[in-house]
Amino acid sequence: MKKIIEGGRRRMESELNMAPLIDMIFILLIFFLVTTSFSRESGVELKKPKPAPAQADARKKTNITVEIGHDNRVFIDGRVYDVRTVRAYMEQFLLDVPKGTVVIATDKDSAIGRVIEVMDQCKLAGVKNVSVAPLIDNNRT
Amino acid sequence: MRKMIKRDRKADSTELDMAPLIDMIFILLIFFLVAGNFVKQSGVSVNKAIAETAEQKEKTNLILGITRDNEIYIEGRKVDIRDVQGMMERFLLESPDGYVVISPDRDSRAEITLKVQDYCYAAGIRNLSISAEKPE
Repeated sequence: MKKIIEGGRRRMESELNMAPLIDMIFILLIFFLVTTSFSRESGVELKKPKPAPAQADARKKTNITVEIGHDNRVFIDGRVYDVRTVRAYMEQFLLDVPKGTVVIATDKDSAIGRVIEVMDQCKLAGVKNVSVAPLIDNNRT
Repeated sequence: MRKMIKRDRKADSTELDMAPLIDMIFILLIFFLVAGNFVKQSGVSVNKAIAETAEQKEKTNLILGITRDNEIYIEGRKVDIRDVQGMMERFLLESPDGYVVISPDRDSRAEITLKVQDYCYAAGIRNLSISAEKPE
């Protein structure tokens, strides 16, 4: 009988005290639960125009410059276009020049939202290479 | 004597078995450790530009906010545009190959975003994008 009781006591003593471990893990768990964010950002990339290759085909115009004025109007070849018609224009342009590129020249004061909209329209039309540059010639607008 | 043995056994049976609980918590902890990514938020809310071609980014480490008043915010603090390059260089020391997102208000001036982008590239950031959301 004595033996059994002794065995029981020894078992009790050698047991690890788990409570602090569990407390700590819980705190860590709650910390990571609270601090992690699973929301993924979505975005676009604004590329800078590359210098034209030395042997550019001079006969055909391979790129279009879309200008955005300070009042957020969109100019192509000096004419004002609505943002929603840019896509149709670009689709027409791509029929002429399948690998055409577009440079968006934006005024300093135009809204970035408008720049992204125009770029979006160009990409939706299928233009692969769209780049954005600040407009240097500021005379027209 | 008989009584004592009985009590001993009873105490044993009422004890909770903690092992599965600990296992589960450990697994949860490791999951959050691995899956969580810490993002340095800009600390300002902006109206994002709308783009149908916006792509979801897999990773983001730092968000630069540009408000409609053309002010730049990083981690809730207003930053002068001339300090952006230095801050980005410091950020790259902390996390090389860090992913940076510029989050401009759709009515902010285009010049600010383009300049901030230039400074980021000058600082050596390779993974950079402009935040935009898909239309509903």
